[in-house]
Amino acid sequence: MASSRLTGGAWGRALTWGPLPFLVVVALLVAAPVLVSDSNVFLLTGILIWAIFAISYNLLLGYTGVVSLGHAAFFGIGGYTVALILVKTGLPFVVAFVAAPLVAAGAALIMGALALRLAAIYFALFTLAVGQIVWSVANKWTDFTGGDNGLNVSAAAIPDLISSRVEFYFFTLVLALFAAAILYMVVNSPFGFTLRAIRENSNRVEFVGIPVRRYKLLAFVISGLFTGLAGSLLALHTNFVHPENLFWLRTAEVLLMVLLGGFHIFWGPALGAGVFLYLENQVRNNPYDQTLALTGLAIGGLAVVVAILFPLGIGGLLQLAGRMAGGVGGESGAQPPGPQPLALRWRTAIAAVRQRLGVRDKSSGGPTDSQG
Amino acid sequence: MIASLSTFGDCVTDGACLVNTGLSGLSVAMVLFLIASGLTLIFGVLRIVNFAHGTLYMLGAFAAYWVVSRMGGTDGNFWIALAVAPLVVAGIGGLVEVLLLRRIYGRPQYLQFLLTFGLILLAADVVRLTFGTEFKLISGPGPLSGSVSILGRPFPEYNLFLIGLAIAVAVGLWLMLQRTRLGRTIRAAASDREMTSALGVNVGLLFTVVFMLGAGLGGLGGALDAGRPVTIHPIMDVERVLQSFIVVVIGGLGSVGGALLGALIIAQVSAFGILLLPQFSAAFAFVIMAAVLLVRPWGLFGRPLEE
Repeated sequence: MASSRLTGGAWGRALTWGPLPFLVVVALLVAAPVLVSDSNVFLLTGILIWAIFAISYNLLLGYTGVVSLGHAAFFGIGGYTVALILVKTGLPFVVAFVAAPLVAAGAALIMGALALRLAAIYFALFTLAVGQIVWSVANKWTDFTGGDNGLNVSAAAIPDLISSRVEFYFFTLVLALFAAAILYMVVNSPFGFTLRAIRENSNRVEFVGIPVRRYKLLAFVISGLFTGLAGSLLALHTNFVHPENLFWLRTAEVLLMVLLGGFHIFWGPALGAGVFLYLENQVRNNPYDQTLALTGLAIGGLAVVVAILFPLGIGGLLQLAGRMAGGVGGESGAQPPGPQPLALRWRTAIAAVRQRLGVRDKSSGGPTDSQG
Repeated sequence: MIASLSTFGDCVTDGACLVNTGLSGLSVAMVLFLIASGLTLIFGVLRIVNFAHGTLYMLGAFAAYWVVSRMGGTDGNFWIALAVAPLVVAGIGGLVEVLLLRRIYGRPQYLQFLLTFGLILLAADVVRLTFGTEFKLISGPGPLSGSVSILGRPFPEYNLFLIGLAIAVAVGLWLMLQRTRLGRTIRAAASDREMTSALGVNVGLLFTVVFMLGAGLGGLGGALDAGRPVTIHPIMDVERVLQSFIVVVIGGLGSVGGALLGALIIAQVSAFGILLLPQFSAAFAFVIMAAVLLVRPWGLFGRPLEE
């Protein structure tokens, strides 16, 4: 019993902030260039970039209960900012790289300030519309953005220090850990707990005297900032920006990553990004896929399965496994003190999910219900 | 830019060009209305934002292609295809509703987004596997492939037929909603689901019927566009689905009359916008959508959602 309970705790902590599993994962990531092939280092870099995007997106979806359908715009704005500054001006790399997330955050401030006046479904549709405006401009303003041809970011514009695959991988790894650390601190700060309270019942939070919309806006801007960082990293990673990365289907892909990994766990979205990109890579490189693009079957099928059967994602399944291994008594005070003990997490997760998945409301059914 | 300004000016001052462009816009508007009315009906009753609605449109085009290619490309077969395609798509819609959508009613909206996103990708690849990857074209409805002269300019007969058919469908839809028992039930469910259910209406069945109806309308739009003819391919819906979302938002989520008005506005904006600012006519439609959401989120004809 005791050992099985330990297993349960370990399963759960592996997904939360238990320091040992976290350190093991970081050590593996650091050692990855030695352990895996060059092409897999490239894949891993992509996974880290999308993981930043997914964790930033989950600050809104999972922690604040806000569903944005326009986030690909910030991803694209980050990429285009770094690319345009490097291609069109003689400004140094650092300027371009620092400007990218800031410009994305500025765009998020504008979109968020307008959109957050709207209730759930209208909010989602508004972010979709604004995202598509940005996409149209990138897609059609050929003289400035290169339009449908995209824009090449020449390797010469990238500093020597991070120009090789492995060097750029470490650059991305450091920034991904930095971004994750900041976001982790955000969600576990009083601000972050207020966001969760807003997610559960924004009216009550409003009654306490907290300016809900301003809190949501700040979360939106922080999310946009790191999404822009991810976008600029992708531009440097692929040496290329294209309007496709601003299209609304990109946002849907990130939504899938977040839900696939588990939106109620901080690391869930990163796990989801990894599984998603690994799967996509496997399908795309299989010999049968040369003439038929079968990725849609894999990714689309995954989306349907997650939506219908596993809205809690892989993280939820692992927690369930841990819970079963841990037995019913596992929720006593035996858990080590941490930011959020497993049992508490599990209970709140289940309670939250029950509440959020249950037939709670008559009309729109969204997690946000802030009638402006 | 100056060239396009003068193109726009020339056309607006030239009566024939004005009428011709206006009628072209109208024929687009009517197809757009058919697609959007399906989308708005589904939202009004099921409260589902069906991002896969464009997929139903795409399936309609492929169903029409399938019928025509099976029966040989003679003239009359397109008309049979036009009758069969919406039924096929309605059937597929029924399956999707019963097997999948039904499981996420009342759940958070992001699950609807995720599910319908998955369906977009799945359907596109299933179609690719079934029909191959090359682009398809229907050889057009023979009897109406000519054009008539309007104010001295040629205008495709088929587009006139589109306008007429869509008006007939719109009237039929209106009569159905206003005058029949099914229509009354649909309107009742759209305004108060729980009460409708409490009064003994089989809401589950009603949802299936409404989704099939909406899917059929989307499929009809696809089949009509296929006869225009436009190239048929698995991602032909990308543009149309977004247009129909714009239309539905402008008119008001759930309002069929609003969808008609929205379709007229958006089709004319893009018909004339392409003369004025060819690069940004797509962006312009989204600007209108965003503006409507800010000023009047429930659209021109819709009603505010009860929270």
